[in-house]
Parts: sequence; structure tokens; C-alpha cells
Amino acid sequence: MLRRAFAFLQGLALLVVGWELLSLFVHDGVVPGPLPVALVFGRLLATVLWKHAAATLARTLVALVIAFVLAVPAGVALARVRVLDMIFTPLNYLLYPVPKIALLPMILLLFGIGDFARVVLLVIVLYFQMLVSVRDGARSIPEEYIVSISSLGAGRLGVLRYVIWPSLLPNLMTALRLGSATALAVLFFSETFFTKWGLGYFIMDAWMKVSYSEMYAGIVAMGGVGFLVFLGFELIEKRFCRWQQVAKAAEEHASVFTARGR
Amino acid sequence: MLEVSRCRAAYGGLTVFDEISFRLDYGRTAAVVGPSGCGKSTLLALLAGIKSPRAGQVVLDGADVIRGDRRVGLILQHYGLFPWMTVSQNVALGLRLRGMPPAQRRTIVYRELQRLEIEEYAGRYPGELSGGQQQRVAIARTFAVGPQLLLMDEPFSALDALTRERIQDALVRRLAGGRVVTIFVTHSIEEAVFLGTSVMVFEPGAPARIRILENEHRLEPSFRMSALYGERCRSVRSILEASHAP
Repeated sequence: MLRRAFAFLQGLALLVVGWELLSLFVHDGVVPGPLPVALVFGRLLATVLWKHAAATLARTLVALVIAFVLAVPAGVALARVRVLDMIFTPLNYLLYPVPKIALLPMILLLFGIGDFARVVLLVIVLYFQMLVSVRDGARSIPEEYIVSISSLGAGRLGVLRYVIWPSLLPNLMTALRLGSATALAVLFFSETFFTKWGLGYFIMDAWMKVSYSEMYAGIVAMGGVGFLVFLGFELIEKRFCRWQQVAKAAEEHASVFTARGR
Repeated sequence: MLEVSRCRAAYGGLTVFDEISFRLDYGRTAAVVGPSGCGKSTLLALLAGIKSPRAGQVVLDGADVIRGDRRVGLILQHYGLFPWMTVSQNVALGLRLRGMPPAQRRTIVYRELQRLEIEEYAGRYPGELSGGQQQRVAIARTFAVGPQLLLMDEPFSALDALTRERIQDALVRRLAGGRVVTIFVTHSIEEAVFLGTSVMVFEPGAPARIRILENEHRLEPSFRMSALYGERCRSVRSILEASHAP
């Protein structure tokens, strides 16, 4: 734990030093140093910045929950029901590579210019990422596990609860982490239209006003939101996927042992 | 009592075996031996209810064995333990699926772990255990639900020689006096003779045939040291060699 905290502080220090150096070399105030930005960040956080950050975080979390609720059962169904897989997987492969941000105009036309449209866009981004991950994860579950739990008397629900769900969790956490980074990028763009709340709006507004310190404070806040989401998933993974770390550690131990034996 | 009568198994148009019949009383252990691909695992799948026979019946105490039959316990070659559950959670799973209250579950789990001398690993994950310890957990998990028909598919093949013997001894002790019919598939003649009170030799062919050798002996670790054990191993080997002869 201490080692991880130290590694985090080390990374932060490196970022601050790099930023400071960049601010010294780039003139015209385009890159203000970390200290003036930190002062502006501190001043704005208590007044308006937290509201923008909260709007961005709320949209991300709502989209994550909706995408999760839709993608997990759909992915499991595709993995376990051959007919559904035959019908829908080719369609998913066609839609998956389409840059979802390109759908923004269509989504705004269909769902209006409010928050609902922004959340729909995020859900679409996250849904496909999770769907592919859940489907592939559920398909790669060894048949031995299914036979094993069936022999203990489990029905379909038992298989789902005690085998499919727990074995999917690590894959799902990775998909959520990667997906949330993409979702934030898409959200940033979508917050520059038809809204006065959200870090996307705040950053672009500060840029238009040539208030670079505020703009960087917004970028720092955006990084903070991303970090919070990332950290949240890591904590969930630690809590519910401890077995995976144990298995990894055992594997590493075994490989060191084998290497020493050579 | 387990009664297998005139069973036929096939994959598509290929008949793996046909007209296979035998009976086994409680307390008996049958070892199934034979060359790879002759239908040993298919027989096990049939007995477990995972595969349906094309003809014939598998009946336990007068009732057909069906898929997911709770009277049947299955132990797989690679143990089939769930890596996301601790040892005690793995052992308790079958009881949990039967809706048993937690307090009762804990008592049975502890008793089974104790019988197989693995109670100190109750809180560990399978990934932290050796192959032998994992196999003990798999045995404990199966015995926890009190199966009447215990099926094992090459249960000791992934273990080293000494661990294999120790687990076989533990299994023999666990089986002693129990009301269970045990059938296991193995490639090892020694294992078949040591654990099997009957040895079923699969003779290759299309369809394959089985020959049942009675191997009456007391299921106890000391049998491995007896002259009778060596003699029986030689006779099973000679039958297998004859059936392999070009």
C-alpha cells in the first residue's frame, strides 16, 4: 500500500516537474506553471469548478450503470445462446468500429439537446466495449467449470451466479476502466454543445476567454474525475477479484521456482 | 445399487460402445481402464447423465440417472475447483445449492475438510494450493453432498507418484463403510487394481467391448504391499496387452 502511494507521488512529482519545465520554455502564457494553476484551481473548486466536475462525473456514472445493465446480460446471452450469437454478433462487429462520436448529430436530432442525448452517446460508447468483453469472457469459461457446478446440482441460475458472473468480473473491470477513459473523451466533446455545465464546457469557455490558468484548472479537474472513476474500479476489483491476485502471485512464485530449478 | 443395462453410446453415426451391462452394489468401486479414445470418458459422461444413451438405461436405486442428478458426484482430472471461491466456499457450494442453512453447512464443510486433513487451508484460494491439496478439496466437495454414485475422471493423473498414493489412501479411508458406488477412469493399472473391487477393461473396436474382472479385496492402504496386488496387476496388464495386440 505504502509502495503504491509512493509510486503515485513519484508520478505526480514527475508530472509537476515536467509541467514546470514546459511552462518555462513556452512563452506568451500559453502554458502557465503548476503553482498559478493550483491557486486558480483551489479558488474555483469551491465555487464553480466542483459543479462542472460533478455534472461530468454524474453523466459518466449514469452512463456506466446503464451500459453495464444492458451489456452484461446481452454479452452472456450471446456467449451461451448460439442462435442469438449467430444473429447479433456480425451486427456488433459492424457497429463496434464505428467512431461513436460521429453519431452525435444523429443522437442530438433523435433525443434532443439535453443531458439525455449526452448520456445516450456515452452508453453507446461503453455498451459495445463491455459487450465484446463480456461475450468473449463468457465464451472462454472452461467447460470443466460448467460440468463441475452442474454435477453439484446447479441449474442455469446457479451456473450464472456462481460461475459465469464471478469469472467475468476481472474482464468486466478492465473493460470498464478502458471504457470510462474513452467515455470521458467523448463526453468532453459532447459537453461543448448546448450545455453550460460540465468540464467540457468549462474548459472550452476558459479557452475562448483566453483565461489559460482557468483552462488548465479545468483540465486538472477532468484528470481528477478520470482518476476517481479509475480508482473506484480498482477498489471494486480489489474487493471482488482478490482471487485473481492470489492466483497471479502463485503463478509468479511457481515460475520463479521453476527458473531457479533450471 | 447401480444398474447399467444394454447401453449404447454414439457420436453421430459412430457407435462408441454397445450392449454394455453391469451392476454394482453400494460399497463397490469399479476402475475403468483401456487405451485412449476407446470410450472410457464417454461411459463416465453417460453414468453422470451428461450424455444420454442411444439405447439402454442407467438406473440408480430404481430411478434413471438424469442430467444434474443430485445423487451423482463428479470429480474431474483438473479438479474443477472455482478459483474465485475459497476452499471452504468450494466445499460448501453443493450444500448451498441445496438450500442448506449456513450453520449446518459450516459443520459439514469442517467435517469433510478434517477427514481429508486440509482444514488448515479452509480460507485459502485454490490457486494457493498444490495439485494434491486441490484434489483433496475436490474430493471433500463431492463427499460433502453425500453422493450415492461417485464418478472420477482420471482423478490422480496430474499428481506426482507419492502425492497420488497419499490421496488414494485418503480416498480409500473416506470410502470405507460409505453407502456409495464409485466408478473411476484411469490409465494406471496399479491404481485400477488398488482402488477397484472390479476392473473394467475396455477392449478397442467399433464398437468397443468391456470385460469385467472381479478384484475382490479390502479397500485399505496395506493392500498395495501384498503379493495378491502384484499378481492382479500382472493379470490386468496381460489382458490389456492382449487386447492391444496387432
